[in-house]
Amino acid sequence: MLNLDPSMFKRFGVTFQKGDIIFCEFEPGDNFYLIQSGRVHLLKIIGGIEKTLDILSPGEMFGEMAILEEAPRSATAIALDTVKALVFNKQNFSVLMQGNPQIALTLLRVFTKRIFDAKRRFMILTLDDIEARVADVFLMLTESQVSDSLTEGRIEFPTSVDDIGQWAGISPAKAKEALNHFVAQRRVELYPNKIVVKNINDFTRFVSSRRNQE
Amino acid sequence: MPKAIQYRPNSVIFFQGDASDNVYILNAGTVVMTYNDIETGQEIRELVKTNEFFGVRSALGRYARDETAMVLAPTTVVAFTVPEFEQLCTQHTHVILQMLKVFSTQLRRINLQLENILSTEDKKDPEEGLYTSGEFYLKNKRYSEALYAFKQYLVYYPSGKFASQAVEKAKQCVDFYEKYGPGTPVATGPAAATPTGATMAPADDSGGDMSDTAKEYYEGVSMMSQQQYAEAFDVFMKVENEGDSEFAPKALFDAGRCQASQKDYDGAIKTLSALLEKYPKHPDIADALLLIGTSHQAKGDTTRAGALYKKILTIAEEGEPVYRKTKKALAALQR
Repeated sequence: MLNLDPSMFKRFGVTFQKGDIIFCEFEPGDNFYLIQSGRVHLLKIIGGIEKTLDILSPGEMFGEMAILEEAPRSATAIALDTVKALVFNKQNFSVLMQGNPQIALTLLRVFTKRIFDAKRRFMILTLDDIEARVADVFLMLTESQVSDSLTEGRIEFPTSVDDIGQWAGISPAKAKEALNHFVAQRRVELYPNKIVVKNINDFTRFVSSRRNQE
Repeated sequence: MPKAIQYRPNSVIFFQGDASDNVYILNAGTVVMTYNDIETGQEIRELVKTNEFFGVRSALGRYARDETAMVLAPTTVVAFTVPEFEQLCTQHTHVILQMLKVFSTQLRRINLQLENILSTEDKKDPEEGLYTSGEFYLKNKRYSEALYAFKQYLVYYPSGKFASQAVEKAKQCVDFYEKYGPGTPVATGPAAATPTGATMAPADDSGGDMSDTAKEYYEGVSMMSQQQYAEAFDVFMKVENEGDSEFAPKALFDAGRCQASQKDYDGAIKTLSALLEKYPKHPDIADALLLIGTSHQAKGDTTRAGALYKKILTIAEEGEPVYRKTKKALAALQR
């Protein structure tokens, strides 16, 4: 939580009640927000199903792409509790930053993460081999620790086939086909609510060899 | 304490893949940053300008270096630890602004590259996307969210291609909202403009005058939206068995959706076929057929899937989301 001057909230503060929509996916956006209290649910409609992208807590920022341009929102943000947030835009940002450079530092870190995540995602998409892409998605998830390590090399991912397809830039059917092939090779186990990679090191070698071939 | 370091030509300040702990500023000399373009793999070399920071992104994010920094001529740099750099930033905010500009340019570029590499098939233009978000929420009986999306659509696209439908659907949302309650209240913040002039009933978390069957059904919808498909399926089947003329067909349709989401394609086909048989005038008949078609396709039966897609195109109206989805599915099948 950032230790900000209380007068900041008077100038830039906004309150959302529990359940309020802060913004909707595809809506043009020119504001971005820093949460002071309460939680914000980020979600997206993918394939007719609403999926949770993240639940943000105080001190976290969202909608920050608005500082780049009035790009459409890439997700819907809904207040999970009563949310107090500071709302910024291009116009008030430099004024605000003069007195509170730590906010700008937070934004700098957010951009750092966004760039890293986008580049990592891009690396997956540069692989021509579909199975290598799927395997690389698991490597990416392991790096970002969205997984539970069971025993050495065996990792459980609380994710779905559709999600894997989404990250790999392929259809759910193709993702399923690639995963089924891994299942037949006993490299992966599929469950309704999770996917288990039996030896992540094997996937590291597999992806690395495919990258070298391409 | 930041320290000045001198390098001889051909020294390497850091290699790609090294752990990142310092941020550098070039005081004098020549430093070249080398990295591979993520799209083409081509090696890119960029000279660092005097008084320019380098190595910031990887150090701030504690990621491995994604560039190699090599010295070409006698050079002096100042190395900052991350806390020292952050301290410097708080005293000289123009440094942050400068870095924000660099980072935002990089982010914009990489997002464009990502968009280019991804299939454009699923891309929606923002106008259509906002409208279909409203439709999604309306269909899932999330009236306050639906109303918000339709209102925002009318704020940004008052003469847009879906404007008249958005007005109608916003009115529908208000009617349903008053009848069944909101689920969640609509934003009262600055973004919640009301261009249609539609007035909202007061938020009522109790669900208003909803019947027990309706409450059960919406509980199922809520479970489904949280991907608790097995639990939602049980709730929907219970609602269907209760035989309520309004909720039984809706529940049967959603039960089929739950099965398809769980990849139980045989189950989904059976449930949705029962829906067609029992409720042939159900408004979601085309959607049910589409789901049966995609289930057949997922099972590898492309002939049946194709036949169903063609049938849907004869009963759905052009411009309806189900029509567009079916066209897309059929095109993908024929590719």
